Amino acid sequence: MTRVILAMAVLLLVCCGQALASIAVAPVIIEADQVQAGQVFTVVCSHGGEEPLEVALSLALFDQDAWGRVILMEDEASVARAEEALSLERRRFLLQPGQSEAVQVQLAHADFQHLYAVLFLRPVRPGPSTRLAVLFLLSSGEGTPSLDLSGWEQRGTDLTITVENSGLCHGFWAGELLLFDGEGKLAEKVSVQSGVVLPGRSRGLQVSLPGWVQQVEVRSLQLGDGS
Amino acid sequence: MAKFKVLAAALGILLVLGAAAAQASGVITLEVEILPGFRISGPGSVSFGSLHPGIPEERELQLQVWSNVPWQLSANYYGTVEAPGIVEVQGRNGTWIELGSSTNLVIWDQPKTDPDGVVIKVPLRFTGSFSHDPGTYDIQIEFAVVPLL
Repeated sequence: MTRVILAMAVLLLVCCGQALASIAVAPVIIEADQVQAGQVFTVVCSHGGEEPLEVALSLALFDQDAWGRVILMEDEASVARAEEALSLERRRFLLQPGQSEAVQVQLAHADFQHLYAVLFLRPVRPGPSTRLAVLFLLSSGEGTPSLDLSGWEQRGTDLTITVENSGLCHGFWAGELLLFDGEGKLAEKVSVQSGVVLPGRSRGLQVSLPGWVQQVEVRSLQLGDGS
Repeated sequence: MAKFKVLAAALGILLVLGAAAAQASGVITLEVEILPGFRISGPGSVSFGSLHPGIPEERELQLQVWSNVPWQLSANYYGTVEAPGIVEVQGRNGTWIELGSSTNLVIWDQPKTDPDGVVIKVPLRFTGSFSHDPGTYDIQIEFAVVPLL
């Protein structure tokens, strides 16, 4: 009875509050090394909806989890560090239907070995929003990546490779798989790449092996700087 | 002799026309750089209608994403005041994730899309609280589309 009396009408607002709101952003990954104070990066935002749309900008940092997925860091300290390093020429702007707008982000200082920041573009609506994230991978050029294969494990047709970046800058690991058949013969070589690994982070990657593979060896080929 | 002159003239005209045609069909190389980018489109509000407090209700949200790079989707509660209950989204692995102010990874390892984009369905669940007065509430949640590295 109480439940009936306390029945609530709940309206869960998601996205942009209006039907078929549409916003586009490019580029969504900005990577630069040997950055210098005052350097400007440009992101273009366009609006495909039918009504004028105000867009709000904000900054934060990001990290990676053990599988290389992006973890957004929006705590006060992270936001403060991002705001200290990057400056926005404005915090909000209005987009007319079909209009594009260039957003400029300036590097306030380059007193870091690396900075992994995120710029959010959020439509401002009475309802909630869907943010688009632009990732900045900036390095001052003082550090280099150092990626090593830290291990791999084969379970049936599933191979899990773990690489570690002990360097001072992001980079990627590249290697090849040596696939041996039931007779112990090397039957195939397959190239693999880790994707970007942030400094001080490990990244796992999973590879599905053909069913005939009995044994596999993983060999590092080269180190990349991620650029 | 006259026939020879006519043939020579005709041959000359053909050569000129051929050269002109060759110029007209010259290949021009356009150099373009396509930047990594994405676009998102979503419906408006999702109405849960009338709910009984303490009893979870589920709805499904559809978002359309266009991306030329792999991407992931995070979600968080965006309201400035306490939600009148528990708001959850279902992650790709089937677990229900309660939304708070910090972002939660909902969908990950999504490949780049085709030109028509991809429609993703995000199950939402809300459980009304007994501690809130009966009435109509707006609950704001926020999704973030993030490129994968």
